[in-house]
Amino acid sequence: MSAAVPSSRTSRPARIRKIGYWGLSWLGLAAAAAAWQLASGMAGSTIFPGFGTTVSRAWQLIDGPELTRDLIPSILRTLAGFAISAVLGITLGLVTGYYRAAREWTSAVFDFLRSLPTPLLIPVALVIFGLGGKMVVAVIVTAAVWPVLINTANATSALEPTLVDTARILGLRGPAFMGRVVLPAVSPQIFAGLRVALSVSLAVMVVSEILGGGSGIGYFIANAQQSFAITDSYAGVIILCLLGWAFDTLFLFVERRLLAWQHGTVGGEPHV
Amino acid sequence: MPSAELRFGRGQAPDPAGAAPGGPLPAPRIAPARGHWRSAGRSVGGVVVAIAVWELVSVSGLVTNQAMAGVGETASAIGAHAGTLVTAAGGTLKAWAVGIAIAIAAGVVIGSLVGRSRVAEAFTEGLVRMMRPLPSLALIPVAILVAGLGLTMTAGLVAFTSFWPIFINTRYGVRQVDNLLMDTGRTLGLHGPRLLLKVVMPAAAPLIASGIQVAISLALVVTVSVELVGGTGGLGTLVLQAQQGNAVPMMYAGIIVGGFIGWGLNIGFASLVRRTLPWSNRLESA
Amino acid sequence: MSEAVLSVRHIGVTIGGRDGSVTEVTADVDLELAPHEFVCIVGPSGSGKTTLLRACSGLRAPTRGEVRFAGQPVEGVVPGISVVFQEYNKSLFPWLSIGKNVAMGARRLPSRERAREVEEALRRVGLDGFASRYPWELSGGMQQRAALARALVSDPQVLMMDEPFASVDALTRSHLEDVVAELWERSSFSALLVTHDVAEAVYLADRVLVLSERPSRVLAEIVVDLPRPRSQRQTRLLPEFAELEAQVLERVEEAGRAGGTLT
Repeated sequence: MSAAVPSSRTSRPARIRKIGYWGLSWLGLAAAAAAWQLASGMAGSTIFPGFGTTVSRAWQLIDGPELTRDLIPSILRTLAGFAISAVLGITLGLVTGYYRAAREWTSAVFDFLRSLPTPLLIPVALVIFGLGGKMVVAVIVTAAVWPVLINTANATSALEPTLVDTARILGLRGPAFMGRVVLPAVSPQIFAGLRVALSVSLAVMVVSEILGGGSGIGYFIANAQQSFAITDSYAGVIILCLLGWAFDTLFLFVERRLLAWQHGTVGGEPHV
Repeated sequence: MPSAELRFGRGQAPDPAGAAPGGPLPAPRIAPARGHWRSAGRSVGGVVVAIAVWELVSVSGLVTNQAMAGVGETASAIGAHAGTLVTAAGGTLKAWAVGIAIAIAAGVVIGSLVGRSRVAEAFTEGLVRMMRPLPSLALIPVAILVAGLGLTMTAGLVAFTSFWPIFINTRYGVRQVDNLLMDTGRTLGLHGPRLLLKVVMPAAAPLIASGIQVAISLALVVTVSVELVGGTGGLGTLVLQAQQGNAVPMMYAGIIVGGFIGWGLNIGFASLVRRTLPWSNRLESA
Repeated sequence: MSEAVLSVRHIGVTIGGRDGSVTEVTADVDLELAPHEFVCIVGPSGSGKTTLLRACSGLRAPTRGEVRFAGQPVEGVVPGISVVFQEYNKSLFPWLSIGKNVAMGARRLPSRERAREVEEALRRVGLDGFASRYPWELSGGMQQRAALARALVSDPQVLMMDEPFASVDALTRSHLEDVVAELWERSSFSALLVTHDVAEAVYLADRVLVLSERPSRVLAEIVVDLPRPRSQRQTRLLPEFAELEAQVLERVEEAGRAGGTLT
C-alpha cells in the first residue's frame, strides 16, 4: 500500500466529464418536472395539480404559521428519535459485536424484532403514549435503532485482529480500548448506519404523525387528504422531500468532516 | 427509502481467548464441535428470556393493562382467531406480492438498461437523488386522494416505493461489473444482449439481491402502513381495529403474526440467495 | 552471565478451531533473549512463527510452558515488550495522525515528556516533520517506520517484530533493515524478529533460530558472529555471510522436508 501524497488537481477531461454528468442529472430532473406538468395538464388539476402550483403552495406553507405548528415539531421529533436510536444502537451494537456470547444470545430476538414492520406498533404506542410527540419519538426509535445497531455490530465483529493486537500491546484496556480504538475503527460503518437511520426516522415520523401526531407535517398531510385539499397534500410531500434532502446533505457534511481521515469513500455511495 | 445491509452476526470475531480487554489471559479454550449447538442454544435461550421479560412486564403492571397483553393471552388470541389472522395475513401478503413483483421486474430491467449507459445514468441521477430522501410513506394520503382505496392503490404504492432500491442497486451493480470480466466474455464470443445476460447480470447479481432484500422489508412496511391509514384490510387494519375496539390481545396477536411474516420473508429470501448465489457474501441474514 | 531479559521455556500452543478441530501449532520451544541481543527466528511457512511471537509477547497464553520477562512470569500484555506487526496499514490507527499514533505508544509518560519523546522517536526513524500527516499519506516503508517509532517511543526492553518487512518492496526492505539495525545499535533493547527471509535473518541477528514445521520446536541455533556495525553492501559480500546463510538455509530445508511448503 504505497500512497504518494495525493494531488489535488483533477485533470481537465475529468472535470469536463464531471460537469457533463451534473448537467445531465439536472436535465433529467427538469424533464421529470416537465412530465409532471404535462401529466397534470392531461389528468386535470383536481387530482394532479401543476408543478408550479404545488411548489408555490409549499413555499407558502414554509413561510406561514404552519412552520411553527407543524414543521418544527416534525423536525424535532425526527431528530430526537434519531439521537436516541443512535446512542442505543451504537451501544448495543458495540456490545453485541465485540462479545460473541452477547451476539449469540440476542441474534434470534433481534432478527425477529427488526423484521417486524414498525407501523404495526403504532396502535400500541397510541395506547401507551396517546397522541403527540412522545408516541412519534418512541415509534421512531423502534425502527431507526436497527440500521445503527446492525452496522455497528457487523463492523465490530469484523474488527481487524492486528488492530486489536496492537491496541492490547500498547496497553489499552477496557473503556479506553472501546472508546479510543474500537469506536473510531468502526465509525465509518456506524456513519453508514446512521445515515440510513436518519431517513428511516423521517419516514417513520411521517406515518406516525399521520396516524396520531396531533400536529406535524404528517398530521397536516393526513388532514389535507381528509378535507380533499389536494394541493396541500402534494405540497406537504414536497416539503418532506426537501426536509429529507436537507437532513441527508447536512449529515454528509458532518460525516465528511468527522471522517476526513478516511480520505476515500465517505458517504455518497450510489447504492443502497 | 434506503436501508442498511440486512446482515446480523456471523462476522469473524477476534480470538475470544485473547480479545477480552484487560485482565490476565485465560488458557485458550478448545472449542468442541458443539460450538454450533452452543450458539444455537444461546439464540433460543435469548428468545426464552425475551418472552419471560415480556410476561414480566405485562404482569408487573409497568405498562397499563389497556396497552399490554401477556404471552398467554396473546397466544390464546392467536389460537382463537386463527382464521381471521390468516385471512388478514393473506391480504397483506397479496398486496405485498403484487407490488414487489412489479418493482423487481421494473427495477431490474430498467436498472440494467440504464446502468449500461453513462448518459442514461447521469440523466437519472438527479431524479434518484430527489427520490431517495422522499419518505414514501408520506405519499399514502396523496395516493388515497388520487387513486382511492383498494388493491391497485396499495400495490401501486408498494411498487413505486420498492422500485427505487432495486433500481439503484441494479444500476450500480451493472455499471461496476469489472471490465476484465466483460472483456473475457467478449473474447468468448458473447456480445450485446447475450453478454448482458450471461456475464453482466450474474456479476451484478449480489448487489441486485441486496437491493431486493431491502425492498422486501420496505414493501412490507408500506403495505402495512397503507392498511393502517386506509383501513383496506390486512394485518394493519386488523391491529388498528383491535386497538380501537380495545381488544388488546388481538392487537398483539396481529403484531406477532406480522413479525413472523417479516422474519419469514427475510430468512426466505436470504436462503434463496445463499443457494442461487453461493459466491455472494453480502447477505448474511440469519 | 547476565540474566536473560526474556526466557521462554518449553512452551506449547494448541489452538482449537470453531469447527472442533484441534491443532498443535507449537510443540516445545525454548528460547532465551539476553540483554541487547538480536535474535531472528526463521522457519517454513506454517511453522507457527506468528503464534510463537504472540505467545512470547503476552497476547496469547501458551497451552504449556512458561514465558518470563525480566524474571516475572508473563500473564498477558506487559509494559516493556513492544511489537511491530507485518501489516502496518492494519496496525497504525488510520484515524490518527502519525504523531498521535506514536503518542499512543507513549501514553504512560507524563504529557510534557510525551511530546518531546514523540518528536525524538520520529526523528530517529527519519520521519521528523511528518507528525501531522496521516498514515494513508505515507508510503509503505514510511508507515512501517512510524510503527517502529510507536513501538520504541516507550523505550521498551524487548522489541518483537513479526515479519515486519514482508509487505514492502525489496529496496524499501533493505533500507528498513538498516533502520532497525541502527535503532538497535543505538539503544539497549533486545530484538526478536520473525522472518521467512534467511538472508535478512543472518544480516540482522546475533543468533538465528530455525523453527521446525508444525508442531514446531527449535531445530537449530546458529550463532552469527559477523562484525558490527553491519552494512548492506559490505556485510553481505563477506564469505562468512554466505556460509552462514547456507547453513541456515540447509536447516530450514530440513525442517521443510517433513512435508509442507518451504518459504
